[in-house]
Amino acid sequence: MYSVEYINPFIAATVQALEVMAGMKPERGKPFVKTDHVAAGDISGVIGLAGEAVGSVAVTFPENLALKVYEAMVGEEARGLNDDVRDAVGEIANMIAGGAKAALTKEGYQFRIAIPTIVVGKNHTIEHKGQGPCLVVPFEMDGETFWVEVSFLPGREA
Amino acid sequence: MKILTVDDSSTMRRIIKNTLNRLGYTDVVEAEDGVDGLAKMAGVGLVLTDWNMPEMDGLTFVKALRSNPQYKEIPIIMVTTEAAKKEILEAIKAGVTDYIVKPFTPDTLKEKIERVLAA
Repeated sequence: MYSVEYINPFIAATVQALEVMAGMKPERGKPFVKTDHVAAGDISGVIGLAGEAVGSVAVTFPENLALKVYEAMVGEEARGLNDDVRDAVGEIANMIAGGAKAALTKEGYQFRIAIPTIVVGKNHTIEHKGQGPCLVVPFEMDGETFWVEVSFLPGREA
Repeated sequence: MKILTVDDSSTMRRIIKNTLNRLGYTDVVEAEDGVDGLAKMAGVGLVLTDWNMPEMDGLTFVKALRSNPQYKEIPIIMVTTEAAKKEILEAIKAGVTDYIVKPFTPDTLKEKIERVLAA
């Protein structure tokens, strides 16, 4: 059974991370279930979740928006999806997972978050760790769309 | 004052360093993890450290500093995405002076630094 209860902390953490660290205003769209592994964006930060709850969360940006996020976070110009931009996307993923973990821990779900991995390229794939469905939340920000993918299945030991 | 910022994210190190520079702290040393941090402790008066890092994580790094008489009293602020009460208590038990949850504003960083340095 997949409940919207699990997705809300990830949505809240996404908004908070980008508002606080980048001063940007993401607006969530309508979530949908993903049926393949292809990412909609050009760069993704992926973090595994393990413990009593298992799964993974990914944030995926089109290249131009990833550059804008980096520039807003650091205050320096970004040139392509270089190591600095990759690191920034990983850190956004880290803050989304961390924020969601804090909220879900209060609900009784215990899990650890892993070090983020970064995937880059057109039509790259994201292999989520959970066996539950992958729910995707689109966000509109600065005239562009980015996506947060969550595969989260509580109650299973990794 | 020399400040050491330990984080495996170069973005986070840059954000913290830029914020510290704006606050007037220009002597900032960067380290990528606890092992790197231990090697760069000479002359440091304040430590800002992440928790989740490869090689040596922040909690182990804090315990290593507190077990060394030379660094037993040095102010340490943990700056991390780990925001659950259980983790915060674990960090305090390990010896951190204060705790900042990511994401954070420059004002939060400023307030925490001023507070630990005034204590």
